Amino acid sequence: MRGKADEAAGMNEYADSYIDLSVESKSMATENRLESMSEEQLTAMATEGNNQAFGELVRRNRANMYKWARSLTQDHHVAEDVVQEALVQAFLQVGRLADQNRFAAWLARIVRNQAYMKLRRGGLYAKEQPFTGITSAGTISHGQDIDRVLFQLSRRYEEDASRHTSDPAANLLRKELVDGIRQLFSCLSPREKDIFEAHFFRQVSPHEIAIVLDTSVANVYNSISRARGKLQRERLRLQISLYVKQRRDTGKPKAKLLAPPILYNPKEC
Amino acid sequence: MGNRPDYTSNYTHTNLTDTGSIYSILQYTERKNLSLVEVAGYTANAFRIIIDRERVNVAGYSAFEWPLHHQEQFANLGFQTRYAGGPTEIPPTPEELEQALELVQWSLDRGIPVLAWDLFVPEFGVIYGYDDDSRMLRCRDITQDGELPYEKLGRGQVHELYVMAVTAFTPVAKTEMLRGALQLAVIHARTQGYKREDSQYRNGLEGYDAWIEALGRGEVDVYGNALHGLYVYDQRLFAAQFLKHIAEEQQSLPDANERLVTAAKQAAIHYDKVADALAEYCLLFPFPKGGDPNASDQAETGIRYLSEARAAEAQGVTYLEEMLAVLEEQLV
Repeated sequence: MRGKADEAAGMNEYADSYIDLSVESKSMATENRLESMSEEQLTAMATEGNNQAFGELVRRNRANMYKWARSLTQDHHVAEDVVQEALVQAFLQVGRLADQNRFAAWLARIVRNQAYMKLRRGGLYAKEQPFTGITSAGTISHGQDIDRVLFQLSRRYEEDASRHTSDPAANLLRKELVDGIRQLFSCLSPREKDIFEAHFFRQVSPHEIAIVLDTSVANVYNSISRARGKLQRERLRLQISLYVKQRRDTGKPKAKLLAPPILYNPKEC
Repeated sequence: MGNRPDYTSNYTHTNLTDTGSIYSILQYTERKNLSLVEVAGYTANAFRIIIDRERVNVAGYSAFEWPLHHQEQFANLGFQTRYAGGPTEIPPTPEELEQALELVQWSLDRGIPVLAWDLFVPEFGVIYGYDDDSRMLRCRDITQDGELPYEKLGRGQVHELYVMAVTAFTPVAKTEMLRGALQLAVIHARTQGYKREDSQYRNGLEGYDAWIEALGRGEVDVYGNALHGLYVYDQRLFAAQFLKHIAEEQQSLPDANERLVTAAKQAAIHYDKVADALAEYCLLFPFPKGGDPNASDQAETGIRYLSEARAAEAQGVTYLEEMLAVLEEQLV
């Protein structure tokens, strides 16, 4: 009596094993061509979304990044962490880099910011990434892109609502929505959040993420799949919470239990 | 009639879980006086057969547009319905889940359980309670009675959501219900259902043909074959019993129509023969182990039983058509 279960199990497996092979076939010729390019040319390509160019830039600068981070943190492991975080940030933000002559300097600044943040928030709070720490728009001083965007959106709607510049009810609704999404993402670890964002918002392939994060493609897949599962569950949980709250607010019954059905009494089965 | 295993506990149980669930739901409505035999008949579920022509796979019995058919069936009993989801093979979005919960709770608040799919197994079952504090639904299907978290609705063994609630009732005369049921039964026997021509499934008399051909090729799914033996046997037992009940009921009417009574009796005789042949089929391929339907000797015997069943059902359908013709003349 499980016919559809068997069929569906097969389909779900298929749906979850998303594999992108297009990048695997990157030719040696492209790599050689990139190696001979100037940093400025590569930066121009990277800002337009060429991830191979970005990878080449990272390859050229990784050693320096580590040196900067090491000199600031005085610790090998922390420096490694800083480089990882900085790479993710650079990767997410390279599209916004205005001055293409200054890739290395820009990268150094990101490393420095990450290092300071790490030092400030070391010890017990190392894993915490509160969005409340961000106060001004436009500063790329904090690691969490999604948090930052959502925080600002939420604040703007709140301000709009309080100033009555537009429909306050609509703004409040929007704020609730944005807060909801923010709450959703808080279930992910910072690293999962980064990978998830890169994958879904910027449509970067797992292979490219793996290069940038210096990890295996399998790890990236696992991370994406874990993040997706967590988000889906969290999203459902949240929707149900809001729904139940709304029922309560409108005075609907809290529970109902009818007489047990006449058929399929457990002892009958 | 000698060799019949009794899987229905003398017509008080059915393995057809939508029939069983609909019958359960009716207990909370104006139609609580209908027997299980009448529900199987008036929904025309007793006359259903859907077979995967390739391998007689296990999914045949549920390979129909649930909302479409259940809506028709409830309508034939006098009920309007609302539903959420269907056989989509994809899990519900959070919004779809919310809509379904809303429908479930709306119906439970007015005291009527809802029909649902894949609560604990991919079969139809009934939701008959909820609790917003624990966020649990109280459910029962053919395997289990228990609680199901809100978020698991539509995310069971197969990821698809389906709930249906009855909304309003308009009394319908039994003759009218009979006419509607016969229409559904005859259409199902003679013509392929919604989008079925394009699928691997066949229904009605062609369902038997598909089954016989698959057995002949020696390629049937052992479990699916035994399951459909069990299910169609169950259904035809109810079909024959329903027709006998109709014959008796019609006969007792002051203005009894002799043609209708005779046709019902004849139809019952033929559906009894279908049940007899399928009883043998069930014994040959017992559920769940299913015997060895791909061994040529067993397949040959199986084909003989199915051919007998098909021939008897073909006769039975002509009497259903005769009954329908009488009723349509009466109502003109």
